[in-house]
Amino acid sequence: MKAIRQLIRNPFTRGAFFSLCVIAFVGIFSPLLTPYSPTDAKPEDRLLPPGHLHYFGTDELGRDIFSRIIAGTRVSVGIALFAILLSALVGTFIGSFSGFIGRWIDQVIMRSTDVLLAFPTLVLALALSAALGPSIVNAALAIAIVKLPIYTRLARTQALSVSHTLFVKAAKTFGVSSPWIVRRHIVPNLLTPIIVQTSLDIGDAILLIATLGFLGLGAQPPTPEWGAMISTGWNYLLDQWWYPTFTGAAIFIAVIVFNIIGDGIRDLLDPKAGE
Amino acid sequence: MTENILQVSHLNKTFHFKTKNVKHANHAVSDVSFEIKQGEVFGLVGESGSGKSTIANLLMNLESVDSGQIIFNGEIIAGTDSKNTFPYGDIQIVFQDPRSSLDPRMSIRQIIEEPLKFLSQEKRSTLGSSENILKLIRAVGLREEHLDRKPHQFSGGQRQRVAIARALVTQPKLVVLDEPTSALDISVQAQVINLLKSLQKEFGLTYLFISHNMGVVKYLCDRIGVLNLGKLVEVATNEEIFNRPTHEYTKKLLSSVPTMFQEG
Repeated sequence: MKAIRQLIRNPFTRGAFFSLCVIAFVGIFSPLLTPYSPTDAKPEDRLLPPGHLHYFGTDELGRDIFSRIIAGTRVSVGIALFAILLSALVGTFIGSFSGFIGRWIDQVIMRSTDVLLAFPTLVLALALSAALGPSIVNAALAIAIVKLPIYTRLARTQALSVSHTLFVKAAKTFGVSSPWIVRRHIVPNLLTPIIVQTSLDIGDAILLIATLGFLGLGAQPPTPEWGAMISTGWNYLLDQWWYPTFTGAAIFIAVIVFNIIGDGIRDLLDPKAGE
Repeated sequence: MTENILQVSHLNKTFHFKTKNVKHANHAVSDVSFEIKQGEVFGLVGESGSGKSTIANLLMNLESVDSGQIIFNGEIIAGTDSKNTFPYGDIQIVFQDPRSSLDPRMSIRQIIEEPLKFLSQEKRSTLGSSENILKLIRAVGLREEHLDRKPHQFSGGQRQRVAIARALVTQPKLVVLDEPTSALDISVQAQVINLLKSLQKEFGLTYLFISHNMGVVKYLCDRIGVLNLGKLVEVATNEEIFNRPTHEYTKKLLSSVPTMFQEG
């Protein structure tokens, strides 16, 4: 594909792109790649330093940290992807209808997004996932809701300008329904900025998921989730440095890879950037 | 006597708007009456802001009328009293700018078939058959392989041909042409005008041709209505308008036409 070729041209995004492929590969095939079970405790092996048997050492229950990080890729990155895609999908449709139909519906939707935007992202995500009850699915829902106003507003602004084009006016003269116009004319024409926003938000969502997990509101033990792993691991930082360090590095790398890819896609789709 | 396909009587439309909290009213269309006969080309001329496009919008049910009524094919399609059903597919429009009137994300085939989507199943299968679409795309001077391309792969003139094909796909009884050539290059304008003329002869179409270009109107139209500030000041045959204009405004409009058309 042309887009991928252009991403690879820049050495910075090239590195990020290949890292992304590795992350995707690890996420998809994680059960086959883990040398040890990520959840079974082995007390006799507890808190072993990194070595040739356990590349990243073991945790306080004797579980292999390397295996847990690999298994956690699927959980952390997968849930972040799910939350952002859900948010983008729902937000795009709500925003498109809001912009296309206008009138009081638009007012109600826009004021609701104002309310959601008035809260700091993390505080709202904390409150929502605490209210929904601590579980990984609820954490994903909380992140989807927190991110929803961004997509709604973005889609609405675009929908407003697309609604005034002649092809939408022409569609109205054919007697087609509003859902048809939104689905066939408006949504396809506002996908570009939504895709850019999505790729920029995934890194942020990985961090949010890890934060919720760290605070005990996301994945519950023994699920190998990066945030939850650091949450217990930081107690051992001084004597068993490898426990939180490698997990933190995994979060750091995943977030930075998604951010670079997001920036790359934005530059790629920005008509002003040129060649 | 040929039958009136469209009868517009005492049509009014006023737009209200506010600037700096002062209310303004713009009488875009005031007391306009005219009729269009089956198979003729009726021209509507006037300078910009004279209400030409508002009349097109009222005809296409894109705006509601303030008073007066529009009778199409014996049925009231726009009025003030009750909810009227609009005969979708029987009146079709070609807009001014083909760069904006075709969805850039759709293929030419999807664009042309779109007006059929909300017609009855029966009409959809006969009019939307692949032979019909092929016949149509050839009739407007495009080729079969163009059907799977996207609008950005075409020039302005070709895009307007696609827009014309889209208007004709439902076999409409009336085609509204809202300045169909004014966004095109001069050389392409003539091609599109000739295409419209030959299609009209071939399919016996009825046109409402809206334009500010007197030369084109003279070439294409049987009867002409002259609009000035929302009022229809004169309705007459092509020959009368250009040789014996009665209204002052018509004379002024004719004198503003470049000399090429006055001599020619």
